[in-house]
Amino acid sequence: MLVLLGDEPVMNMMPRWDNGWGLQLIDEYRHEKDLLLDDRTAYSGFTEDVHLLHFQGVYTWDRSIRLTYKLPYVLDARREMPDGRGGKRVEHDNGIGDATLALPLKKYFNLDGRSGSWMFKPMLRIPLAGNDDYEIYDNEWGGGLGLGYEFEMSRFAFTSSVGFWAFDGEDPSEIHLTLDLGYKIEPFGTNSTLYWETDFHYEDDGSETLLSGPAIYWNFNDITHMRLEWKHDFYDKQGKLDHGNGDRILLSLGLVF
Amino acid sequence: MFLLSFGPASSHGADGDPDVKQEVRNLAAEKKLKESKDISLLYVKGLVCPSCALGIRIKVGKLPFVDSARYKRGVDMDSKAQLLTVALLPGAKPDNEKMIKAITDAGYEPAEWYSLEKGKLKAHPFAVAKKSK
Repeated sequence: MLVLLGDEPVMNMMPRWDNGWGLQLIDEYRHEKDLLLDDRTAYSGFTEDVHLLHFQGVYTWDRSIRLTYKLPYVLDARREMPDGRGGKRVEHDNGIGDATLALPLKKYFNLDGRSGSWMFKPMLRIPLAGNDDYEIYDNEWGGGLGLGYEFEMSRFAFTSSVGFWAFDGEDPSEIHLTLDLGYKIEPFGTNSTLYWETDFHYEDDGSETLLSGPAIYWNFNDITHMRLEWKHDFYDKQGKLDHGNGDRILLSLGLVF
Repeated sequence: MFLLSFGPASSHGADGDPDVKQEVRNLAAEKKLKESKDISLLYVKGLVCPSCALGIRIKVGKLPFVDSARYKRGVDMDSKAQLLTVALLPGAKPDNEKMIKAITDAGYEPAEWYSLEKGKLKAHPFAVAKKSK
């Protein structure tokens, strides 16, 4: 189960100015349709449904130094597991999840027709999750490092990043790779970008997931920004018995000041 | 196509992946200056998308000589030519130092500003354009 979002508020790009701040609310829904072990379906039709809200924020003292926080809240999580007698056992989780603090350090560049940045990002995961039938967030401390490179032109946008996480409990270490390609459009006089996004996640228990899908970013005005994305698991392998073969939908509302 | 454009940042005039040549930018600048009154017109490197103007509007819109009632908070832009138009209050003279600082604080690099002299475009490079952080 993937619980970490690699993107940073707000919409991974704002604010870009000194003394800026922003808030982002993400409504995430995931449906996993099978229970996997290694790259085979161990229990077909054993589903998992997860509905999360992510409360996120950012402050930039200087545009090259920003502090971000991410606080997830599990509205409802439900999964079906084998009960050992040939049937299904249903488990639930809800409540606050583990928070993530990050300090993205960016080096911006401005060229004739292209603008972008390099990014280095130390991250800290803070255990806040409670105990339920099962855990979407594992209530563990963790440390991570991220690197990123992105640029945009008047029509195209490109974002790439790599992140590494290690945890102090039983959770396996994780590596995340992202590649987003965007094309800008201007519907009804507003600003928008169509993306095709691809994420690859690796955990050192042997789990591997390749997700990909479209996204649309829409800038209504100077303050309000929205983003809708859908990703499908095109390749899923679980190092231990876990759910996979799923889809993920995220709707984001961001405000920047 | 743009995947091939990886590489270190440079500050030369013809760097990046220009959407328009300098001659095209000059024509757009001359047209803008002839059509508009009480404006300051600048070429700002990196100003490649309408969203880029958010920070510019926040920072430049607060300057005392800017007429924030015109355009959007006093700022208009041409993202292809990377031209920034700043609406000036009637009779006001722009303070270039403040303008450079506001644009730089917003995350972009002011390269030059334009005027019309005897109907011809004249470019005035900014002497000290602070590098991006």
